[in-house]
Amino acid sequence: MRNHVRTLREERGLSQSALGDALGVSRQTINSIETGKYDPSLPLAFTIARYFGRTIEEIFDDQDN
Amino acid sequence: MTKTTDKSKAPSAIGIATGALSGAVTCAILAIIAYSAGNDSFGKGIVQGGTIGIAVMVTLLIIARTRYATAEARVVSGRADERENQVALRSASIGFVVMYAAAIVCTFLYTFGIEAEAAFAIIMFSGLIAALASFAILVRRG
Repeated sequence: MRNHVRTLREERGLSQSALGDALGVSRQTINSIETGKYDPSLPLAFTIARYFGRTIEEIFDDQDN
Repeated sequence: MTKTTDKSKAPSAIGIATGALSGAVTCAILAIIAYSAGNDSFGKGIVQGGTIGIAVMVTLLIIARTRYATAEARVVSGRADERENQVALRSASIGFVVMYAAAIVCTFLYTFGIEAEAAFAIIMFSGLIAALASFAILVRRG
């Protein structure tokens, strides 16, 4: 699943580690989400969306194109 | 919701010392129990050596978490996040499948005269090693 987590994180000048700490997950998990290797659970997706002040649909895209 | 990975707390010398001491005591107890069971067969050697080896490895991981915060250490210490827990579950599944396959193989080997202790050790440690190795690989793949 594609997502805009990396863009949103970089816009805020956050490191993966800092974002991980804020969301309660590891830096490796943030990296896996950003690279599309891991799709977060619904609770974590909501946490990410709330953190960035967006909706889940604005951050995660289940369509490849 | 999501589980917190608290990496902000600096490791205390007392915490590291307590972890090291409790690990050393655990390993010593295991070694005493293993020695009291005797060391007169290949199977007992595998069981004793493997058990103590894994105890040492887990102890080192627990101690290492305070400095390196690896995924393995977080899982062992109960601080893993959802992805790491998912990988741990998959790794455990792989370990059980390997144990099942090893049990089938050992059943055949037992009919050809392999020691019962050796068969037990092969089943147990093949599963543990498969689970640990698959966790190390899967958690780094993402």
